[in-house]
Amino acid sequence: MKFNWIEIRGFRSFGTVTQKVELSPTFTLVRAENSQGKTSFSEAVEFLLAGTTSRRNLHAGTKTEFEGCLRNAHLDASEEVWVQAEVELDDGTTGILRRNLTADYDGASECGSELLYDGQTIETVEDIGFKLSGHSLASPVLQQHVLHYVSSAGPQERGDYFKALLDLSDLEKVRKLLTEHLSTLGNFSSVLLGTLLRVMAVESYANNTKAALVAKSYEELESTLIAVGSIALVETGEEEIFQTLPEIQSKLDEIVKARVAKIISIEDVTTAELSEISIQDIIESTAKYQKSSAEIDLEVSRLIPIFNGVLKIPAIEHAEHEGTATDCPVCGSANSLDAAKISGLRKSIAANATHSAEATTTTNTLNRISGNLTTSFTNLNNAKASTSDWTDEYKAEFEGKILALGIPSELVKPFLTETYAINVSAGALETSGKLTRQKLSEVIKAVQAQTAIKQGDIDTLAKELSDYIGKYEALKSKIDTHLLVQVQIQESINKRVEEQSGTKNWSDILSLFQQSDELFVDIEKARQAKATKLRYERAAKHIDDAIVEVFNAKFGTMSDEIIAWWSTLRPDELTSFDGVTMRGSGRRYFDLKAELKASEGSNGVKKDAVSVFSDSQLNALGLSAFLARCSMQETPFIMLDDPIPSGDEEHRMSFATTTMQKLFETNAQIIVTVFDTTMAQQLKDYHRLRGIKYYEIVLSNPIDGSSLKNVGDKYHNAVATAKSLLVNPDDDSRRTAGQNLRRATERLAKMIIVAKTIAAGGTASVADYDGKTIGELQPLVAPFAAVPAEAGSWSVLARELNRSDHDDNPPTQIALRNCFSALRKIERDHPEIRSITD
Amino acid sequence: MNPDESIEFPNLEALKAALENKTDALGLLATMTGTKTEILANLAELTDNWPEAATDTQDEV
Repeated sequence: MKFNWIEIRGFRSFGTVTQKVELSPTFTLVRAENSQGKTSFSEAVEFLLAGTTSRRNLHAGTKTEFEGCLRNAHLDASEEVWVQAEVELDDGTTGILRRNLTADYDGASECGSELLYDGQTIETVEDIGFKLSGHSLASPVLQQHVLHYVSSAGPQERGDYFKALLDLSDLEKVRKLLTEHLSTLGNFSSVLLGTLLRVMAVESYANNTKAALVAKSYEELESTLIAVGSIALVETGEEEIFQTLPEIQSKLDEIVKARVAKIISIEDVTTAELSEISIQDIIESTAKYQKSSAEIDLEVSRLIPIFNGVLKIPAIEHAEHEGTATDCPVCGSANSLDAAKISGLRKSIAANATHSAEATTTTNTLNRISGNLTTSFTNLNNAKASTSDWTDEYKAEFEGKILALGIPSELVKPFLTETYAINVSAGALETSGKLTRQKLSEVIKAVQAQTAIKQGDIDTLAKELSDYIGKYEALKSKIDTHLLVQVQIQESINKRVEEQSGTKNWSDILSLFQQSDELFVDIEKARQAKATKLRYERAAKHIDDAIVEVFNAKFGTMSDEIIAWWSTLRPDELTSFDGVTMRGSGRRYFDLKAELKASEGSNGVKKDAVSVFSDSQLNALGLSAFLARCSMQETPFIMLDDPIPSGDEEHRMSFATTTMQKLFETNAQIIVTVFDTTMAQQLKDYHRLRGIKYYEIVLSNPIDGSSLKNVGDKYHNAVATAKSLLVNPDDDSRRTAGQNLRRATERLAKMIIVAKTIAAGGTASVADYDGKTIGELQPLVAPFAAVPAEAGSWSVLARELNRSDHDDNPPTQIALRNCFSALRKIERDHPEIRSITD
Repeated sequence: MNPDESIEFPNLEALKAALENKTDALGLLATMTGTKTEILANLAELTDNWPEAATDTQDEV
């Protein structure tokens, strides 16, 4: 992956005129004076990649001071602020990566932005395969302001920095996932295992129940249960020895019942749940029968068999067919049966048949209602406690027994009262229900006989059934509530009875006996769960050890890589970087170690680098750590903002040569911004054959913003060369500086003439003025002076710089500096030249 | 970790290499593909089906 160009609008020092940088696939050099927009440029690239700026992120204490810093301070709030680049992916396809600023830093709040790739929103540049580091310094853009970060950060922050460099955060995720799953293992439990644990709590059963818990076969479990049961029997004084589980179970059961019965028979006061019933609506069930009944004459219906016989007589059929009259075969009346009367007979027969069918259907339905009633009586009887025949004396005695067990009377008395009341209600309801059923039986008999039934009787019956069902449901609800109290009472009573009868935990033991098969299944499951957990923990421990191994291997590589980069920056020094070490046995904190040698070849002394390194060395260490990270992560793009601060002249050369050479070997696309013209020149000179692109950033005025100028042209090259020589007092340097300034002056004059000519509607190019000297150009450029003093400046430049071509008397340093300043002022006063290509 | 987001493990191969013949551990790492939800489900399925868990690990102790 690489970037073909970058465009910036409205970001920090950049204005509303979009600035574009065509990038070299290998190395792009950007130079700028101080306060021209160099840092703005590198932060714009960082913003594009990471959506934030590391300078703010890494200065935690001063976040609020960055409020509103991303938008050009002179820009209207409505103006768009964005950075975009053309990205060429490894498959050769290209797309536009763009980040729009949607909200600037606001106090301690982060900035907001939207990231687009070819117009589609994406979360992060990692979505298009550009890897970021898992750290505040996420993008491969190293700002000069954070060069020191690795050495000045606190222990935790430094640890995070190196961990991000190691790029092992995925292994932390592995560990978290394994830990999360571990929390679900080894936790099998069941009611039966709970019962077993309760029995285990009794000292005399403890050993055998512990053996039961780890039984590896059913037979083993069975023998431990037999042992538990035998101990219980021995404790009762039972002398007979039983060999099998069913035998012991039976004996224990027998003893428990006998002992409990001596104390109290709780089953007697146990109310059961009342089952639901469903009874059909009797009015609806009898409606059709009532209707068909109304449509027949009961007197006529008795004659239906005779009518059927009459209509089968051939003479009758003939008369009906011919429409004539004939004699009645029953009474003998002459010609009394005509077609109309015969038709009437048939209608009577049909109506009677319908009525008969309805009678059958209705009878069946009513029988079902009666059957349901009978079932409800059974339900009522089943629900009732067996206290119906208890006398008041017996009730008092029973209550006394329960109270004697220590159950609170405020719990017992209402419970018993309710038990008795439920019995009474159930009995009364059954009685009333039976009377209703009797009335229903009479109706059923009438329907079966196909006789008339009074609607008033049906209505009464329906009301009685409705009342019955209402009372039944109310009682059911009452019993449901009562059962909740009953469970509570039963548990208390069972516990006390067991204690008093010397059968404590026997119900638990009997449960285990009764469900020994299920118990063994549960024991197996629990053992499996525990073993799975152990096996899992062992495997997870192996993974933990392997993570440490991977960490240590990568850590060693990282330390070596930093040393390798350090060696390119600071070769052959007595004080050198010796590596990164883990503090103690942990992997949280890291120390940076330096080696101090008294002389070449002597044994070095190891010290913490932070305490012994100079400022310059700490910068080199920060740069080395950053470059190590980039090379380890195989970053396709690296941007360094003034990596060798001015004043560190002796190491400019090693950076420009050895470090850059190593950087090129990573095959990353590189952008370096510099302030220092000498370093810029060195970088250009050493890497001229690498397809370098060279830009300068100029800020003419803050409102227009910084502009990026491709200065692969003669003017800027000459200016840059001259500037690098201004500091040298010797004649040759001054002469060369003067010659370069003269060439730059001529070039600038031509560019102004061309720009002004074009602005006035004419046509011109720099090449039109080839060969003209400063003396010849001076009158041509003079009319275009931006300020009155400019004409004087041209004269001074012509006079002073002409000396440069004389061998014996080059311009003085002061004169050269004055010329340089005058030239840059004229350049700044003529922003129109930026549109002139060289 | 987002339950529905695919998790990448760039160092997984290096981790597996460091585990040599630790079969159970390698089995656990083999589940590390997909989303967090899927990985946890894979882990559950794997460990639910560990037969004879108590004795199967002897070879790697």
